[in-house]
Amino acid sequence: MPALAHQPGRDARLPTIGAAPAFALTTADGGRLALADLRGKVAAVTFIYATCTDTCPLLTAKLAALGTRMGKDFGAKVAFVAITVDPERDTPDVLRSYAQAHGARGAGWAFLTGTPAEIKDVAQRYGVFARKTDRGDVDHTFLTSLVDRTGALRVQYMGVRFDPDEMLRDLRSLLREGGR
Amino acid sequence: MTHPSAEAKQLLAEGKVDAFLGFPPDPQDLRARKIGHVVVNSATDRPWSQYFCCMVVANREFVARHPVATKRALRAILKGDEVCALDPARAARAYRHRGFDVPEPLVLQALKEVPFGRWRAYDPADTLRFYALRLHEAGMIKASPQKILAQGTDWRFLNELKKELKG
Repeated sequence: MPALAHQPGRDARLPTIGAAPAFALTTADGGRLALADLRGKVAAVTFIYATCTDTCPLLTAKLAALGTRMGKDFGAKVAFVAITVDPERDTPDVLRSYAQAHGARGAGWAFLTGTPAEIKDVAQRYGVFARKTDRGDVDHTFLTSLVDRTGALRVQYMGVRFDPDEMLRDLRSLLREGGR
Repeated sequence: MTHPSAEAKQLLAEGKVDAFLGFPPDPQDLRARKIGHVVVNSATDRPWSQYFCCMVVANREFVARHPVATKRALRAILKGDEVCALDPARAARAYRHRGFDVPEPLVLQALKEVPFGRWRAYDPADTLRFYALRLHEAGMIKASPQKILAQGTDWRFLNELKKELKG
């Protein structure tokens, strides 16, 4: 390999998958938040539920650490949106407690709930599978989607074992693109 | 000779065949019952383990006419692959829920042994070249790997999804 060769694609722009699925849901403060309200910011949209005792807290903690690493951009230019897949139990109060318990604080965070029909629709359009189990838990897939400032879906991360450094690079690369 | 897998396993158990080509969870089932032994495991033995074990085949006209649907279908397959890699227990339950009558521990064992989640690392062109050469040597196909690669492959969707779907 030539000495000056570099990793192909390393400095390339992230792909554009298409328009990110729109939503308008209820926040932990009882207000409403739509994806369109985040236009101008880079958003990471993920799905969790508050009574989860294994993977959701890990994902939330991972994203919370990333939010901290974003510094002053977090909140001002970058938003993390966590949508519950258990709308029957995850009221705004429950989501607020969950956020506090897992270090997801600050203006950059939005925890959203809605009617079961609203949640089912959003989850399906983002490609997230969720189903209540006999035990009352929610069996769901983990998918975190990065949406750019123009509302385009750019990249999706499956599971919770993704490299946080890679996501940080992707978030910063979307910030550098600018656009509104 | 080809037989349904249940029959093939029975023939092996009875010593009426010397070997058979099995797919998960049949090898796991035979191992649990202490029948036979593994000659080649393409998931772990080189060179087979260095290549994709499955390929997606689509109608050329359909792909040309419906590229978005084609990519969505491939995305769904790859996401399913990721779920098997990230949460094999859930995948095993889903497999059972779909009516496959195989004990869940065997399904789970199979899911853990199959190298799911490595689709980003394998090279599809190398895979096709490898298998085409083997089939050519065996006289099972006439076309060269170059011809198959040139006329029968399209990696655009996979390459795009490698960038879009991380994990």
